[in-house]
Amino acid sequence: MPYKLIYSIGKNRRSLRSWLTEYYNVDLNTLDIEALHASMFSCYILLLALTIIIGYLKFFSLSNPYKYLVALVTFIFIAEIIGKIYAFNAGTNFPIYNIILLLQFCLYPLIFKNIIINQKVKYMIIGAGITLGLFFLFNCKNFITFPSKGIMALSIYIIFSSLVVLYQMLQNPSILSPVHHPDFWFATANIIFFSTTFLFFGVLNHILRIGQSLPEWGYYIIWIANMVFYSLYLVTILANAGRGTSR
Amino acid sequence: MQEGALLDDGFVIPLMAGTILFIVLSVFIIFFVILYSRAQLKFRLERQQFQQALLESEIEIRKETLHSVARDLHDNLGQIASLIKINMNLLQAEIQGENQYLEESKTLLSRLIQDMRQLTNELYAQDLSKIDLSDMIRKDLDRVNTTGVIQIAFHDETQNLSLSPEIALFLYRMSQEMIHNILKHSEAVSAKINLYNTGQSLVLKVQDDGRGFNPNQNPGNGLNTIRDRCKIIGAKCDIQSLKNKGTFIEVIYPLQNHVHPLKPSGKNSPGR
Repeated sequence: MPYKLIYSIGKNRRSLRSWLTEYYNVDLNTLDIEALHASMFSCYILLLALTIIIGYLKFFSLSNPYKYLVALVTFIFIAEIIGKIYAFNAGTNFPIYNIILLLQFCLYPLIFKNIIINQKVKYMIIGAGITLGLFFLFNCKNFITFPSKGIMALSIYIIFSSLVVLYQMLQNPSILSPVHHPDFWFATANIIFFSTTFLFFGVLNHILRIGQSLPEWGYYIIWIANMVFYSLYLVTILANAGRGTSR
Repeated sequence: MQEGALLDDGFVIPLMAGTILFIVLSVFIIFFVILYSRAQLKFRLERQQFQQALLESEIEIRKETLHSVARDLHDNLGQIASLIKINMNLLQAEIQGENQYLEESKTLLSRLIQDMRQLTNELYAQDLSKIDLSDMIRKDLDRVNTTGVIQIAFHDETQNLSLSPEIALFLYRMSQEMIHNILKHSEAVSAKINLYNTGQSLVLKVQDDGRGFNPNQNPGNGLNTIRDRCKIIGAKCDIQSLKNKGTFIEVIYPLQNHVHPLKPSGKNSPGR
């Protein structure tokens, strides 16, 4: 039970593993972690596939920004599968994450260009996205390393742009409630996910600096964040398809 | 990968940061939804005010147009007709005898001057207090039926009905929109309009035998306008249609309501 976990953590500073063993007779030493990770990846890929299928089924009723969103999710789906195969053969999938990052720097400005109405702000955001993308491309020393700094830069860019989208919603309210407004779900998904990744990769750098390795729960947090992220993207696509356009 | 304790010193700060982030995001999203709902309410009130202002100007423009036409008839055409009559009298004096065609022309001219005088009086007198919904619908339908494109029957059972001119104008505009839709979209051969009073409500029903449509898909500006006008006056609107089975639209205005569409009422009225 959650309150017992919090109590024992607070009082005795116990580890999650020992708590699980004592209260639920779950022995993580015998639990197949590989199988667990494989199941988590399968769920993630299935969610991406579902988002893509629904995106293409409703493609012609989506407005322009969300057509680009469907394209982005498609590229990420393909990249994740290629990454998994690459990791199986080469032992790492970091080069694929560099490519995903570049794709995101290309597609997110296109999405925001079609959502934001104010011309000056629109071109500022597009310019910032292209500049960051080019900066990352020309300053990337090694495609084999994980692009944590690039992801942090992308996170700041997306969070800022999503806040602009939310501000635009407040300045130009429509008859739709926020629950039915695709821009709201899109911006919320971005803010939640990219805040989490920004914090996570900041934490990762700190952990590596103090000489420790990433704890297991770190991967679960990233997985949960991804699942929430793409679920909200799916909701965004359904909200946009449901009423034609967001404006 | 080493088995890390959940609360080793190296992870206290990240965990706290993560928790704070989660709380901040939750508060932010809730705060945004509240702010947006307020902005939406303000937008709806402004829209309602705009629609009311638009309708006020529509009524005002109509009144001014009628007065302007009456003035032109009296000042220009009436005077010209009177001058023609004077010239004809002078012409008769010069001819010094009776002329059949001249007499007929003078009679016709007298009738013209009399009819114009009557029309001018009617136009001046036709202020808002004299809008008769049934008459106005009947006149529109007479014009439509004479074209021969479609026959629209009108059944009026609203004797002795007292309706405010603003409500009458709203209902008239809705009937015009419905007739327009029948002519433009329905491809119907016949249609009927029923206007009757149940004692508690005034009911306007329009039905055609046209090609129908899906009411849930892209209703179109015309139908949205009808729904918006119904909301403003507190009437109910029911639109039913099936493919190739025609369309049925019913507007029910509750007579106890007597909501003045141009005066604020209720807690959501503008300015409150």
